[in-house]
Amino acid sequence: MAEPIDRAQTPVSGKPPVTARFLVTREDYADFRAAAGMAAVSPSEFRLIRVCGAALLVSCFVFLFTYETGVQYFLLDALLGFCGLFLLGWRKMLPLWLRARAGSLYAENSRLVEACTVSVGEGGLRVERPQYRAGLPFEALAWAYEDRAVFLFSLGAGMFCFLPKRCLSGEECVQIRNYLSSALRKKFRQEGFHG
Amino acid sequence: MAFSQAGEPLFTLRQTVTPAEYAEAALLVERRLSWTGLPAVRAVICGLCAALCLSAAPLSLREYGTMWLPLLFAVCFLLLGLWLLLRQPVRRFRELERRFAGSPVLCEETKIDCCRDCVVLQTSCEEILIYWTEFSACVEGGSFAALSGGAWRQLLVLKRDSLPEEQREAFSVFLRDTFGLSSYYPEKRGRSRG
Repeated sequence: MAEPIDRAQTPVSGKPPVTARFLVTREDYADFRAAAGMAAVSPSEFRLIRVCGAALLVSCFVFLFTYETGVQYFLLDALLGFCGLFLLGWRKMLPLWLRARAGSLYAENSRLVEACTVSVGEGGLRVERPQYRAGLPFEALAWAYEDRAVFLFSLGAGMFCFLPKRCLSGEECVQIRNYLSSALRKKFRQEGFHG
Repeated sequence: MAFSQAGEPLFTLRQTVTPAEYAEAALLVERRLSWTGLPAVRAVICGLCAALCLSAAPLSLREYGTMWLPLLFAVCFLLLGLWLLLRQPVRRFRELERRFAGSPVLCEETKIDCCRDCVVLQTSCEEILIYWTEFSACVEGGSFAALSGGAWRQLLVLKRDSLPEEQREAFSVFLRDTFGLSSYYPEKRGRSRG
């Protein structure tokens, strides 16, 4: 078996790759888990959930004003309204819940505190961690995702690499965005981020 | 050796896993690690729910003058049970095949060095060191061992076929000794008791 090759860093236009060295902090890990969770749900699924929530809320009001009164009916109606509100706000609540869960996982697992080096060039991605080294061409990525805090690179089957934006300048973010958009096209998704 | 801390390999495998093998291993792990993962168990639970609904039919007839509601629920539970027993395993198998095929790095040929404390994976674009303690369980199947819970491989399939014949038995013994009684699941006979 050949040594892992550096296809990922072969420059085409001579632009050097964007490299970031960082220690995974609790905040980084929470951002990563939140991004991974949000990326797992497609925009159309979010839309469907919101429509269901709105439908439940509307039926709650319809039942409230048209059907018979009584404590039992009122409680059932309130439950319907609560479910509707829950589904309507699910998109906002999901990252909060994911971040809270990631925070407690990070606190319990000291192995997550690792030094990482991630470079993104025209040819692909290079990752170095104490137990993981990879030179991944963009074709090896299943998809990529960007939100306001991280770039997330999925290798498929629940495997991820990430790059926190706190380690990058605005110009470097634009450069990575350009690499990903041209190499991955529809497999690169951006969300919760403007600019 | 890619990682100096790994030590000398005791067994070396060179393998390319197919989507069907991955799906088979993943299903085996799901079913061996949790009894609720067994389709038959799920179907029996649905059957019990259906029986419960049927038992409420006379009560429904007396109180509300109709048996339709409990009968409807009973039929729904029975249909769900049949679906869980016959269709869902096939769907899950296909879903796992798709999951594997959607990950280009898993489809690559991999050299796997099994050392005393860890396993080192090398593909054309990755080098990974995973300590045995990072895996939560080792389940032995017919021609493979499936390790679940690793950091960079949530499911690692080790194909025994890729070892020389004389090493296969020793490899199983090595895995059993490494994972111990609590997290080693030998082939077919249920959880190991030593």
